[in-house]
Amino acid sequence: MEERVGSTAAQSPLADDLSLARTIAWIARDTPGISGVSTGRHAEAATYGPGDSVRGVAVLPGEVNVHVVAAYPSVPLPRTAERLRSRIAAHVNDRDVNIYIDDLAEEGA
Amino acid sequence: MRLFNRLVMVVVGAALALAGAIAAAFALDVDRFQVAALEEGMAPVTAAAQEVLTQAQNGALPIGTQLLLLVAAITGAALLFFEFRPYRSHMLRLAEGAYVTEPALEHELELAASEVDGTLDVHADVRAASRRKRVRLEAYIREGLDTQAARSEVESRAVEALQRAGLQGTGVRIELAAVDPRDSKARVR
Repeated sequence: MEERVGSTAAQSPLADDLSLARTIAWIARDTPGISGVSTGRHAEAATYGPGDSVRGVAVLPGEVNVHVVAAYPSVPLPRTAERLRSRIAAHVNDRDVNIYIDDLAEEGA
Repeated sequence: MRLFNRLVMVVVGAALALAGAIAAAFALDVDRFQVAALEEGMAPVTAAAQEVLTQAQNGALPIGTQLLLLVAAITGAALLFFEFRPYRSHMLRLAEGAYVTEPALEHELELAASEVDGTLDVHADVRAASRRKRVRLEAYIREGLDTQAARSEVESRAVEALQRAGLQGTGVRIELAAVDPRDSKARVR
């Protein structure tokens, strides 16, 4: 049987996680009230894949942890977090989604 | 623990540097640092250690030494426990699967309070993750302003900020100080 070489990275679970992490990071940046993703306050929150990584989003087997910087002034933080969580939930199947607001950034600063 | 660890590392580093310098001096036979004199110089230390070991071997350690060793063992075990205990960052649960860090809350309070006219600088200290929630705000306002009005305004902004974070009903302790803008490090608006 002929084995296809070169498509391993694209099909590996790690690459899938990386792709998911990229999508989630993009959604986070695109969500109103969110200024950007954060790398975590104490340990780097990231998803690692073949030759690349996405910081601020940790895709784990049972959960997805998203670290963000909220914009100030913004809508109440719980509502911002809930809005982001619901937007991400559609992409993660059965994984739990945890949103961590690590810091705030002044809009336009 | 972080400060304690740093102090311990400073002491250990200084001791290693000193020991290294002395070892180098002995190796190079510099001035009075002669290898032959080393054994003689170490004699009181080795004799004392030997005495303690002999007493331990004979089961005749003085009670003071026993207590000292016991305290050292307990202290070492406690330090080891705290060192291995994973660091838990202080997070406040906003909703199901949503958390905010205490520094983010502090930042929100500082930004909100600094919007009050005449405020030169604000420092917030939030302990929201523990059972006894505590919010303390230090605000520095321009000299000559009505402090009562400024306090009330700062408090109202802080309460609003806490409500935005889902912390309704949390009391805020405000410390207000009037300062000369020339003495303030903060940018004067």
